[in-house]
Amino acid sequence: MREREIALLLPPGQIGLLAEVCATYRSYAWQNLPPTPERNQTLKAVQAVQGRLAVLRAWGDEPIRLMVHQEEISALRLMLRTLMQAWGRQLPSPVRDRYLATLAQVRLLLERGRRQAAVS
Amino acid sequence: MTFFRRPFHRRPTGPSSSRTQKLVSPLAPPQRRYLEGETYLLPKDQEEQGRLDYQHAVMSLTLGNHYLAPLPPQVRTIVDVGTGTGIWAAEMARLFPESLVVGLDLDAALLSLTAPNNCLLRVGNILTGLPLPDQFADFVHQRFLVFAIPDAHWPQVIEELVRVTQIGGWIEVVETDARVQAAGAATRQVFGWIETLRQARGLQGTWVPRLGELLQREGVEQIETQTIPLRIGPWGGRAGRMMERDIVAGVQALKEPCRAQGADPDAFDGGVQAMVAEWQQSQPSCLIHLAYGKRGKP
Repeated sequence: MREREIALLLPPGQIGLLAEVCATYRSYAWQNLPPTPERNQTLKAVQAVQGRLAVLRAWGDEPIRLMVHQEEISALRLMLRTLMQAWGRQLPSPVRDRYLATLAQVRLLLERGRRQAAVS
Repeated sequence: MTFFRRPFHRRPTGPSSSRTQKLVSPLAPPQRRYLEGETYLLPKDQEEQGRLDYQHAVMSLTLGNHYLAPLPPQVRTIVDVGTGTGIWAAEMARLFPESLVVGLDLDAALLSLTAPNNCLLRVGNILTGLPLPDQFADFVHQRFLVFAIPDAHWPQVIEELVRVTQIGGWIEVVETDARVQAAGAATRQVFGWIETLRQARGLQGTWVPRLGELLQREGVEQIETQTIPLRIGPWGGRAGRMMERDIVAGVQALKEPCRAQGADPDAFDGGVQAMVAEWQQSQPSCLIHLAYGKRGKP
């Protein structure tokens, strides 16, 4: 394992979910966030993770160890925070509640994946 | 690489282009060079080379990266169709130093001589068939050919892009409708002349908002499409000012073809000036249409 690289343990059913959230963030960022070096750095990191997830999606039923750099973890956290804030500003609705629940699930997935990888 | 010495696969369905192109149109003043016998609207000269390289920087800033498909870390072969100056291909060759990057353009005049060792820039025309074998590349990219591909030919172009992509490889098409939203009277006048020109050459870009549909027809999977509004002018900050500069240069590059269609050159120049002045007060934007996906199994 390279320095500053972390292994995330992801259940197979959740890989697609994380990839979908990555795609959603990129769409949101292009539509709503001004093009700054910081935004672009986050976009690139999320894109890189999405690319690796696209490869892993075809694998079998075992949990997957996804290697991510510390910078990518930071980008994924920023991604989730940005999307939660965006959806949080929407008027309460079943769709909004469902999406916020999904984001919370992904956040839990990331944190749990990090802890399990540290233990194993 | 023998397949570069002659086209591997040629489809005689696009507009014909003679082997010896007459490079200078009798309608053009000496300072701009347009391709005769080709549908392509924009010039192919040093000034256009500068604009295309500048546009590349604008796109990198506004879209956040040179490529948008979620590529895996290792990509062996990359193809850029309509590479222009080759700057995108050269940048990708630096980003993926273990890859072979091939940039193809119908005209060699703007191809840069300073590409990295893993980057090959060659002549190739998507409308007559790329000089590449089937399933050549892991990643095939095409950007801003709306002024080169007649509407009637977009389906075959996408078919050709898919042909040279490996199964499981990525295809990415980035386009613009080349129109300005929320524009004022001067902008509408200038783009009205350009619209007349586009209609005369069948280059209205009607398929541009439907790129995902074309990819789907060719069995491409995991398709993602985006319509991204880009701000033009001061209200867009640094990116907006860069967009303004690029679009104005692109409009000015179309002055001679518009003149040949009947636009008065002095009125054109005045219109462009008024258009730029409008943009300082209004909130114009243009749309980028993006579609990418993975080639599926046949």
